[in-house]
Amino acid sequence: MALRGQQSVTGMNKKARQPLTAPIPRLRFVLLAGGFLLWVGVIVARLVWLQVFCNAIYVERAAHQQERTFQVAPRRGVLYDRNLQELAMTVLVDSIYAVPSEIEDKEEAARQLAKIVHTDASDSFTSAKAIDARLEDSRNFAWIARKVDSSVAARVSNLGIKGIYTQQEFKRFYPNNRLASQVLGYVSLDDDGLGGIEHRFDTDLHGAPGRMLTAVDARQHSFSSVERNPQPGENLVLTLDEHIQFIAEKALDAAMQRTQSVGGTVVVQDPNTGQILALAIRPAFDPNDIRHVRPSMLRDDAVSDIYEPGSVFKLVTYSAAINEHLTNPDEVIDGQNGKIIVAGRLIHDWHPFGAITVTEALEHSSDVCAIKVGLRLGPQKFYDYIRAYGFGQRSGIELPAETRGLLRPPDRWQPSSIGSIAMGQEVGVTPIQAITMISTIANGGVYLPPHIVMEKTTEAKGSPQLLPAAFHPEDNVPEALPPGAHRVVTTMTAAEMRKMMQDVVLFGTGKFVGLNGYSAGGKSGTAQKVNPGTHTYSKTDYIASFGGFAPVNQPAISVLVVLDSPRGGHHGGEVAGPVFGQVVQQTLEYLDVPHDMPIQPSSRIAREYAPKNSDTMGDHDHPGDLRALFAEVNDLPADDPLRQNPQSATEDVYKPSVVSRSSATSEEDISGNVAAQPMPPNTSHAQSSVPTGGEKKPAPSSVAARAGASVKVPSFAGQSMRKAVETATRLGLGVRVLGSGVEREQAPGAGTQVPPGTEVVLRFAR
Amino acid sequence: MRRLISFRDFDWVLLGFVLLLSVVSVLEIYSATLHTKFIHFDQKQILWLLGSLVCMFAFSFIDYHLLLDVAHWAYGFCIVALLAVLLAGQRVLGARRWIRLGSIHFQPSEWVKLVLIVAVARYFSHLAGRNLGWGDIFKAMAMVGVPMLLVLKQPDLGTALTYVPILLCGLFLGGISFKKAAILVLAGGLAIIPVWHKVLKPYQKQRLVSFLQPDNDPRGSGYQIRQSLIAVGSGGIWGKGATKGTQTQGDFLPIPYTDFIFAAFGEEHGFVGAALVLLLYFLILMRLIQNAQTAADLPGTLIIMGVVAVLIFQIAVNVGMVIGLMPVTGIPLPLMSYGGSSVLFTFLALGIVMNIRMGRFVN
Repeated sequence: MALRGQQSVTGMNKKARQPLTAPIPRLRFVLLAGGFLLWVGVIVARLVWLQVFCNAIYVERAAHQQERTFQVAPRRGVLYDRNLQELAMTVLVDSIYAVPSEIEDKEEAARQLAKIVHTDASDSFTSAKAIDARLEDSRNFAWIARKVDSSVAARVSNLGIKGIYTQQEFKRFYPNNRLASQVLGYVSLDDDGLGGIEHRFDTDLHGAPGRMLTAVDARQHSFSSVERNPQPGENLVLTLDEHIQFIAEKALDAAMQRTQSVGGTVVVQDPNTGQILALAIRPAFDPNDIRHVRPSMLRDDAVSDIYEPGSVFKLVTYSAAINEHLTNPDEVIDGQNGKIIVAGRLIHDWHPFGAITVTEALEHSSDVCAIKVGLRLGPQKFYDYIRAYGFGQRSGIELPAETRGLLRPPDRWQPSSIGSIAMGQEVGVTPIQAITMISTIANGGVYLPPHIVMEKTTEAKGSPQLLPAAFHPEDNVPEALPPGAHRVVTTMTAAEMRKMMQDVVLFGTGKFVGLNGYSAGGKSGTAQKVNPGTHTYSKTDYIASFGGFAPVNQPAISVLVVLDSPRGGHHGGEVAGPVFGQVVQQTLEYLDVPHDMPIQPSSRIAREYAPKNSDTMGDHDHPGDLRALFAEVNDLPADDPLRQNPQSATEDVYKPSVVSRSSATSEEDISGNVAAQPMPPNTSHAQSSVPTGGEKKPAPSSVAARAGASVKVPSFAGQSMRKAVETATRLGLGVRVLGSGVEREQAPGAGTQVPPGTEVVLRFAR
Repeated sequence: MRRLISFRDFDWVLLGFVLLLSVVSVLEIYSATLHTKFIHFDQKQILWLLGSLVCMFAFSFIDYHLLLDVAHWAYGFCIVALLAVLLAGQRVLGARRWIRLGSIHFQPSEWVKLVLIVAVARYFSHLAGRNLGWGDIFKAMAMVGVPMLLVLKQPDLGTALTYVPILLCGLFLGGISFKKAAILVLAGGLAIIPVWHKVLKPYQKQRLVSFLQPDNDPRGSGYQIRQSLIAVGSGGIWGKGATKGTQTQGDFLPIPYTDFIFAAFGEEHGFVGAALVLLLYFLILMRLIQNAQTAADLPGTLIIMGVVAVLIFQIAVNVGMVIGLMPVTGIPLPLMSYGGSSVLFTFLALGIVMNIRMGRFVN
């Protein structure tokens, strides 16, 4: 820059304006420019330092700031019954949360929100005060209400409050509500299993939470995300059969109401595998409504509560003695007019029996005879048999909090103990232990450890690797015994016991069982409850039980009914026997077990066992004249074609029309009896279901039956979730459920032809 | 007296640099507002630029001597306007900066800058050749100090501070002796002590020192500095690419389209981009200084140097703030930051510069 020259030019041209005098010295410009240059130098140096040398540090800091790791809840595993009907499943629902820093008036917002979400006065989480407290507590995140109905979420978003958002969360849903609630348990709001199977298999069901690596901005809105998927929990296939479970619960509910019992248990077991087919426990609760679950309801009485088995335990006494050839069913034993002294203690029988056979002694449950047989065994041998039957030890069934029961070793027995134990006192057993003992006799003498979980699998319904395992009554215990199984008594002993137990049902305390067309063996038990305060026997509270199996020669199921503190009659045979009968009758018919006894007109049964049994046997919904109609059909010989579609009163008691042969009466029977017969195309209502040949009817598995065909999607409009799920699964359709309430939207639409196994998305709302 | 106005002498090179920087600015504003509610601010900025460009050409036709002649009237008007703002201005976020005339919002403090530049130039050109006495110096200080105090009262520290370089530049080029300059610097340094203890409020002090230790209070006053450093530092040599800056796009970087636009640019275009922008500034300013030296008369030189002083001050303070060398003061980066007043001021100043340059060969 030729400064000087230019200045001289300026100097020459300075006529226009005054006062332009001395030029500014060049030094000053240089200083200014130099100062600026220096500053630029400093800035560049600083930039080099930041962007080149410290780059790695700042990149890491930036990444640290952007990446937040979120725990993504995994989808909890499904609980299936053995036919792959969902007993517990996981659905997506809305949860509402707030970003408090975005809310202008927190108190007002909390007030308005609570008006909508605070639907339950006892729920302290959603009160206006609690919401406000949470809003004040955090800047970035606060729950407003969790797992709400979609209508509630919609109303909240209609409020238009700034800073309120919804997020989808998994919610455990039990399509059958209370069904098997004590077995399944329930989960907390955070998906932690808190009872039953849900608790016992929590780790497996829960799955591994996903880690979601999200790049978030300063306002917590994610703008890009790298997701590591959560590992969904494993699914469990239980050995339960939803329909048998329903039969058992229905029968138990009726009995509970009739007898005013405070509690009760009905167990149905496959004697040839040890699998539990149904486990009904009362009182029950609704696992979908956990806010109202009281802790006292959450006890798996079948494994954690022990009771004194009473006379049912005489089965152990007699079978052990017969097995040891210390007695036989025809031996005559003196009942001593109902009095016996054991180790100086006088024991009164409930009835003064004279000389009777062992069979009769069991039939009428003579205490004296049982004691005398027990004394023959001696403490050690007797104890060994009791242990062999599985008493005094955990069965290993897949339920939480199982107890050993109460069984002292012989060296700690009182001198009189052997007498007490022989008739089922001084021992405490769980219903699971008792049913397993009965099954041991039923299956020919082999102890099979009970199970309630059949399979733990990552496969879901619809996968070819996971097929329904419908229950078929087995003929025999498998030759290669499963782990934990062992022979307790010989096949002969078991057969003799079964014969004796059949006589109990035919002539003895089990005559109230009231089966029609099936033989059964069983034993009643009546035990006084021990008052936990005084350790003395209660005068008023009894445990009435009845355990047995059917049919006698080829037992398909064993069943135990235990009622706690029934009122107005407490004898096990009278109180629990009819419940046993109802469960056995309905279950065998559901399983299509062939009748092995002549079928009596139900009118005669009604006459014989009235009034006690009319409750259990009868269907309240049917008027009396219908009953006569059924009776007519029932009177026909077993092989009469008409009988193939009978409308027996007993069958209609339970709902699952798909398994019922009386499908013609049921309007909701969409699937019909699709399982067995060749299916005419496009006919979903197969009226006459003639089981092919003598084959056992395959299970009511809709999926298997429908393979290959296409399914017409029905309209689910307005249906309850349970109904819709039932309908869909029966048709072989998968279901994905959103929200709760009644069905509002579905995809694909009604009438669409889809391949079986297609997932139908149903949205529910109230 | 007719001056020859010739577009041959219009500084097209300077305008080219300025427009190049403006394009860079618009692109960065686009990127920085892409995911925010301020989206389309880039289009607004283009409108402001076009409007300002028109104003610049218009101003370049106004003889700057006319401006010098009315400078005292304009100065008086400014004082009245600033008082009006204090008395009747619109209070926005606790500060009265705007006055409403009809539907037009008017921020006098921006215009005062321009008026002060001209007024100071006029003042010192009248004193030309004389050794500045203390009286002259104090008069100049008062001339700048009165509007400055009024703006401080609003309060608007950032804008008030930009008046200081106008004064300093005027004094320096107006011929203050180095001895007096040294005394002034010393006195200014001593004055900091009472100002620090008595005048500044604690939050202001906190803001002023937090740039030294931004990590001490990452959530509070150090937040902006910290985020700015992370953005610039993580940009590396080549940057993350336009619209790819995680800190800018992710809303971590505060106001990335105005005060912190240099950080946003540094993140997305790295050291190379930032250095190029600095080079552009350097070229623009050197070109301006050259124009100042070739101006036809002393007031022309002083006016251009006043503009240079304001620009240098704003660039230095803003960039210094962004890279953690200076406190956060809320001074935008001229020609880069989004904002109509800033753009308009810069282009009007350029218009005057153009006029001065075009008049360099009078007759």
